[in-house]
Formats: sequence, structure tokens, C-alpha cells
Amino acid sequence: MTDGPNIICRGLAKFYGTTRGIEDLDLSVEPGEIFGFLGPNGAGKTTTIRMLMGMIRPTRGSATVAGLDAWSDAPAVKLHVGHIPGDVALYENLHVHDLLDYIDGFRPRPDPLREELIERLELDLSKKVKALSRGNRQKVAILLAMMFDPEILILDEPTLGLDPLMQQEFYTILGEFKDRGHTVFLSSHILSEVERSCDRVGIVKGGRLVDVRAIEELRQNKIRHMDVLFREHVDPAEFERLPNVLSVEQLDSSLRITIRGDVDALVKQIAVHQVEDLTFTQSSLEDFFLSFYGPSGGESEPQYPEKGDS
Amino acid sequence: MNLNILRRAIADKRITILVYAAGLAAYAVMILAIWPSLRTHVDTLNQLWQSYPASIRKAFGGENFAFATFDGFLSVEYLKQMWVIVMIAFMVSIATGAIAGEIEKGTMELLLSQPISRRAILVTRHFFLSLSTLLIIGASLAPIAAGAPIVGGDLRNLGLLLLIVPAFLFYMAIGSVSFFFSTIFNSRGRAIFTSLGLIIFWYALDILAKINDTISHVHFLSLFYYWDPYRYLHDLNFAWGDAAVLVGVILVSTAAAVIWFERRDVAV
Repeated sequence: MTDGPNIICRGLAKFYGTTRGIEDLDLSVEPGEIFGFLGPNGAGKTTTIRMLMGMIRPTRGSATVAGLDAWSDAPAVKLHVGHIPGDVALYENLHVHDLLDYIDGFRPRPDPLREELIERLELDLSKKVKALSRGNRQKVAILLAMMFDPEILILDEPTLGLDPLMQQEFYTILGEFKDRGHTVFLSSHILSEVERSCDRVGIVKGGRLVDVRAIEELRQNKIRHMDVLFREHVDPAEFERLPNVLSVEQLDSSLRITIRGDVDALVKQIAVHQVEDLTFTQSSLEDFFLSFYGPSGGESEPQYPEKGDS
Repeated sequence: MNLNILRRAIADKRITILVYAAGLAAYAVMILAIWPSLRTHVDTLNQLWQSYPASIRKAFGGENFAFATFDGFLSVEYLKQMWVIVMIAFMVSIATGAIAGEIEKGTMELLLSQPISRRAILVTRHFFLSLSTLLIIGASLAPIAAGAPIVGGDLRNLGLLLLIVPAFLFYMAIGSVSFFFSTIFNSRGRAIFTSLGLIIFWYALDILAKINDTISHVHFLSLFYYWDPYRYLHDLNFAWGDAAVLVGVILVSTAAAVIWFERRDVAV
């Protein structure tokens, strides 16, 4: 391992014939950082991760992981990297404990976290892989990537198939990796997943990195919708004047309030009235792109919607 | 070479190897068991053989071939037919599963996530192919060596020993070509289809070149041209030139497989 960023991409590009996978990717991820790679399906997240893992060769540019070239030094890179692929494929005919032993056999030292993670992920090692559910396969993939306590984790949609409790446990484990100064590069198309775990987010769409932001900035600018059903009639105008509220719509019997950023003032104003029901929906990735970049989704400069835009 | 991969390959394929080895050994025993009843009709068999058109005799034996001898019978009924078919099935199955099979199943991504080079994966899998080929050849020929004296088969052990080397080289040449196709394709089915297509072409060329003088000059392009068990069993004549060609095919195919696999995208 070297000082400086653990992951560096410089002008990284991959084309499949004339089809663009990712183009002109420049980014770096520091030690102790959890970096989210956020984008819709087909945006180029998996292509980037496969180049970082030395599975596919860049058309141009370079990817450096742990100070080593991700393609030409691929075996040495893997000494430092744990990886969960987007589409987990395991050896179906092996028992889980045999699979763990097999993968363990490639490492120069015993896996320090193996027993602890088996317990925390509640894995049954005696089963054959082919008998495992989708969620349990994902847990095995997590274990395989993390059990040797790698300095760098490169994860492609890591919580796919996990139940909410196990997702929570996974993020706790991820936080512990970060606390030990390890680096995590995590791709997702789920905004809330990135929001809860990452320090910075790279936003990718249509094969291009359109922006990199701190997660706090993302939270502050994120658009959310709140549906409130009051017990009595409430004038929408009293919410329209509140800070950060973008719009108020009268639905059948409730109000839909669209807000960007801090919700404190809004919640206090709602609490003045008697509330029968309240739904606070997380914004979708589409909302997110609309809020930051407009309908073109990053082809132009970021557009911050003003009050009243929605 | 990686011992971890080798151990896993042996554990995964031990049943397959056992089934092929036991099946071929059982077939060899059956062939041996037939010989005592056939050899009482040597004259009739020779007449029958001579009654075939010369082109057919050339295609399945040769001008100087004697069917009604134990080594002639063994060559036609076993070493040039069933043995070749079963061994080719084994070679193609193992070779195409080694790389294309793993890419198709997605497990190659797991393997390449470990600190191991592509070359080490390929060399280890190729070594495993060689090892299992030797084991099955041994299991196929051992019953013949042990059983020939019992059934009155006139077989010189030197011939059988000589046969091991060209048999190994012939099957490894086929396996190495299949191995190369295994590194090219993402689907095992395509690798099998392409390998078998080429093998069938070689077989057809071998037969046609024997019976048709107009294409006999390209006979050497078929790998089957270099597989003549009767020559080793009967004449005790080791064909160094043939062996060199087969070694060349193995080396070139394996080198091409390494070069291709080290440069190709996996998990596209």
C-alpha cells in the first residue's frame, strides 16, 4: 500500500465496440473513506468496478488501486481488495465451509474476521451453495469479500437480496471497516443506501461521471415529498412561506408538500395542527437527478431548483 | 501453477474421472472377453477383411493391416473407435469446462477476485487436464496388459508401453485445441460446438484422404493422421515425427490460450 488515494481513475474509459460503458472517468478515493458510486442501471457503474478489479481492460485511461495498476498488476491488487460482484455467482456444488476454505487458500494468511462475520451474518456453513436463498448467497459473497479484512472494498450493489435487518448489520460492519481506516468503493442505484453509508458520492449517468459531492451536500439539496392528512382543514399557504418548501399541492384530503433540504421548520409547522397521517417518501433516483441536473440528467451544468420549481 | 486450484479441480472432478476410467476399463475387459471366441475363426475373419473394398480396408486399417491378429483386432475394435470417442468426449468436456464453463457460470469473476494470475489459473487447469488424461489412459490400457495373456492375446508389452506416449500426445493435442476455444468463448456450449466441429472435420478428412488420392496430400492436416495404434502395437515403431507434430499442436494451442486469456475481458 502507498500513501495517498487508494483508488485513482484517470481518463478511464471502456467501450464495447461502439457502445459506451464509461467515458473520461476521473476520481480518487482516500483511505478511510466510503465512496458511493450512484447511478441508474446501465450508467456504467459495473463497468467501472470491473475495470478496478482487472476483469476488463480499459479502452483508454488508467485505474490504480492500492498504488498498483488495476489491469497489469491485477493479482497483486487482489491482496488488498475484497470484492462483491453485482451478480453473485458461487460454486454451486460446494458446501459453504468448503467454499470458504477454497477462497481462504488463495490468501497468504488466515482470515482474521471469518468467525466473527459468520456469526454476525448468521450463516449456516453446512449447507450446499445451491441450497441457499438469494439473501444467503449475498451473505456468503459479503463474507468472502470481507473475511480477510482487506484495506479496500470494492462492492457492486452489495445489499441486493438482504433483508432490512441484515442490511443494517452490513452497514454497521462497513462502518467498522471505515473506522479502521479502510477504503470502500460502493456502487448503488438506491439513493437511501448511499446516503446512509457514504462520505462522498460520485454521480454517474449515461456512461459519464456528472458530479462528485459530499453526502451532507446531497442531503441538504435532496428533494423529498411529504403527504400530510390533517384532522381539520389547513390552508396550504401557511406552508408555502416556510423555508426550503418548494411547493404545496392540495390532494383529495391531504397536502403534498415538496421540500429540499432541512425539514425542521416544516415539521414544527405541521405539529401546530392535529395530524391524522403523515407519509415522508424518500426521493427516487429520478427525483434526485431532476433536482440536481434537470431532465437531461447531467448533460448540462447542475441546476438547483428554486422555490416553486418542482 | 496453483496447488489450491489443482486440489479443488481434483476434488470436483474425481467422480467424473472415475466414471470415465471405470467405463473404459470395463469396455477393455469386454473386448478382451470377445477375443477367445473370435480367434478360433481367424481364417474366416481374414477372408472377410480381404473381401472388403481396398478403400475401406485403407480407411479402417491400412494396406499391411491384419485384422485377425490380437493387436489388429484391438486397434480396430477399441483403440481407433470406442476409446477415441470416449476420450475425445472427456477431453472436450474437461477442457471447455475449465475456462468457458467458469465464465458462463460467473465463477471466473470470483476466482479472478483472488490474488492469482490468469496464467496460473490456465496453467493449473491445463496441468489437471494432462494429469487426468494420463490416469484415464492408464486405466484404459492396464486391463489389456493384464488380460491379454489370459485370453491368449499375442501382445508385446513394449508395444503397449510405446502406445502410452502417442496416445497421451494425441489426446492432449485435441484437449489443448479445445482448451484454446475455452478461452475464446463466454459460453461452454460454443466452445464444445466449435471443438467438436473441428474434430469431426479432422476425422472426415482422415477417412477421405485415405480413400481418395486427390486429397491425400492434405492428409497431414488431420490430427487423426498422427494416431495409428497398430503401428506401435504391431511394428513396435515409435513415430518421432508424428510425436513432434502433436507436441507442436499442444504447445501452440496452449500458448495461444495463455495469450488470449491474459488479454481478454472476463465478465462482460
